[in-house]
Amino acid sequence: MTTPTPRRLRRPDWLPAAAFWTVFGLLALLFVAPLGWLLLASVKTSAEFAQTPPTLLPSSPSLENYRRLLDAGLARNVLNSALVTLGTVVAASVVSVLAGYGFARFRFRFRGVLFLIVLSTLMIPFQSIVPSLYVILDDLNLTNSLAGLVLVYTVFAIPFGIFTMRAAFAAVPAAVEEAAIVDGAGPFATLRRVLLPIVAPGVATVALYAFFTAWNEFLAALIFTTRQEQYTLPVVLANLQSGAGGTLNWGVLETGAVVSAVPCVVIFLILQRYYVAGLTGGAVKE
Amino acid sequence: MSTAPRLRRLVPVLAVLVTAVTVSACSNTPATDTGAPAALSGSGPATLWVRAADEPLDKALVAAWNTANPDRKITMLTVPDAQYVQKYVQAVRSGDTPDLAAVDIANVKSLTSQNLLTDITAQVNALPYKGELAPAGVDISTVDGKIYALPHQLDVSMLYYNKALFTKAGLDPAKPPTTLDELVNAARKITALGDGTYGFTMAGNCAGCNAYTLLPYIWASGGDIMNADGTKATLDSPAVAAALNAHKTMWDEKLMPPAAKDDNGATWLTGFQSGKVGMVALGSFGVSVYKADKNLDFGVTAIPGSQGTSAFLGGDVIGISKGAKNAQTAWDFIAWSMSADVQKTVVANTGQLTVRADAADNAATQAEPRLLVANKLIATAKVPVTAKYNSLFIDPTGPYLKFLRDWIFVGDTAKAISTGNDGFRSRLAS
Repeated sequence: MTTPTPRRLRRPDWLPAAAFWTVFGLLALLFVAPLGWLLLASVKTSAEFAQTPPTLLPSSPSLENYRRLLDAGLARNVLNSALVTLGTVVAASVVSVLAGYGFARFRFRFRGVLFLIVLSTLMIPFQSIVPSLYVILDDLNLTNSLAGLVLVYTVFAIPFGIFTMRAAFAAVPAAVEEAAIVDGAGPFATLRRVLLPIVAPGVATVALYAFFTAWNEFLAALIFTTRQEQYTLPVVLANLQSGAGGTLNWGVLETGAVVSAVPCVVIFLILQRYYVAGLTGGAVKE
Repeated sequence: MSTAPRLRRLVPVLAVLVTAVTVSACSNTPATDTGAPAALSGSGPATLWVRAADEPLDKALVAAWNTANPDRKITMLTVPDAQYVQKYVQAVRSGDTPDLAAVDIANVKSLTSQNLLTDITAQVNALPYKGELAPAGVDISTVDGKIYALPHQLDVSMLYYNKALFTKAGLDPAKPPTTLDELVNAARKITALGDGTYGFTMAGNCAGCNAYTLLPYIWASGGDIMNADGTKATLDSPAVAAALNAHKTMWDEKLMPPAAKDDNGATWLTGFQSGKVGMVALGSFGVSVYKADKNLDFGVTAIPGSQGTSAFLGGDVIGISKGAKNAQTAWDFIAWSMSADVQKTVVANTGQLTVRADAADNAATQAEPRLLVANKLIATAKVPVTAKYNSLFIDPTGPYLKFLRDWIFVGDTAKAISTGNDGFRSRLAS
């Protein structure tokens, strides 16, 4: 078993320090600039935003846009989004770990076919199955329910999740598992006590993917919900952005983007080192 | 691992899966037809769907209704504009209909043509003020003499002009242009001020914006872009040429900012708001946006043509869904919302136009005369009569936008007409 190499970028020996900092500083600036611009624009007043030529720094910073978001009473919708996201992350991670373990470590009939079917669902565009999903959820009394959304999002997230977890389990040398079995552990004990800590980067990847899927999803949340208080954040933000006559309310658009991006950035920063390790885990047989 | 034989075994399985998905996606049967208008039933609490852009007025209306009718409150749902029809059709098909639907006036034909609204002709005919309701809004909601919806929230397109720039350019701010020639001349004088000032602007790459604001120039020139029953394009009419040539002149002489050509509507409002543009045609919703800007001294007037003036009627109509469980409450809400009192207070106070001509003059419009100008345009404002409105005029890849871009920005009139005719013909036939 190899320990994952630290991902921190090290300066190559042939590159002088000054050049390194200049080049990578500029690159970093290039990537951060749009975000910085977004942040700056979100504290401009609507009159200043309309100004031509545009101002670089807000002349009179105002929280007008943020106040408008607060006034819209988003608390309930943020909570909906958080609950749906949490549910999806937990459900998708559990299902993916179990299924990935099964596909990687157990031999059974139709294993390959089943795995291909799971993967093939990645290729079906969601829009094409909306009507059928609606009928099914309606029959199960799961429209207008956060549980229904959790189910839909989990289904979106698990093909990729199972794929990732299968690769993660496959990368663990069989000897590790055999040692556990020799010591008297059953399959579930082996999974929980021995394998899970090793495949943790994979689980983090799946969780992160499920998080983004559920937090940002718009169309399913809109179609399967017909009560204002059940809307998730992306739907409410889409509503707040439209101004009169089909025009865009830029201020709210930017503020909404900033607000809804914050949890994504935070979670990504926390999990990013696992995320990258999980993505490449099992990519190459060693 | 040998995947090839497995893959081959998998093909039938996949085929079955794909077929099942496709079939179930297409198997929605159209709503069944019903006969004569029945009395409305159901007086419980009702639900109302509105599109996001028009939420503020409905919020105020619903709040006022709920205070007055605590036993049959109305619950409102806001739906993003672009997904409204899709979501509505989905809901009606699966029986989860809202009682009331406030829908974009341009989309009402797509609901009536699928028979998704309730016939309210008998109720409408009993209204003492039927004749005062915005005529184009009622007409567009009428199919074979039966009325399915009524004007709910209205907006008209008009010409906005910057009074400060008019004065600076030696034009009389009390006399906005009334003909196409005056419009072009005013644009020349304002552009001549220099310093990045332009006489006129338009959202040159926005189909919907130009349906709303450019068609009135054509109507005001005594013609139309389609024949009376909306089955054939009349692109070679002199009225079309008059309106588009005026725009082409303004583009050729650089009286519009260069960005006008590619504006997809994103900066339609803000261009004029910057105070550097003399005139723009826009919906009356612009009044409440611009008046918040203290530095902007603007006036509004009817959109001019070579033979008079005209306006496009936009906004929402409201109807009762087919199969509404509380249709009586729904109708009572519609009738209540149109009463003179509600129109003059709740509606007028949100800065909206009234749906009744006899309510146009009220405290709010007296305080903001620009809204009174807009309100008075409603009586003569028009809506294009075609069931293919979205496909022809709103679709960014539709024939209308291509036609006017070819004419104004490319400048090849003959080619614009011939490709335009082909485009209209194929969309009308589909």
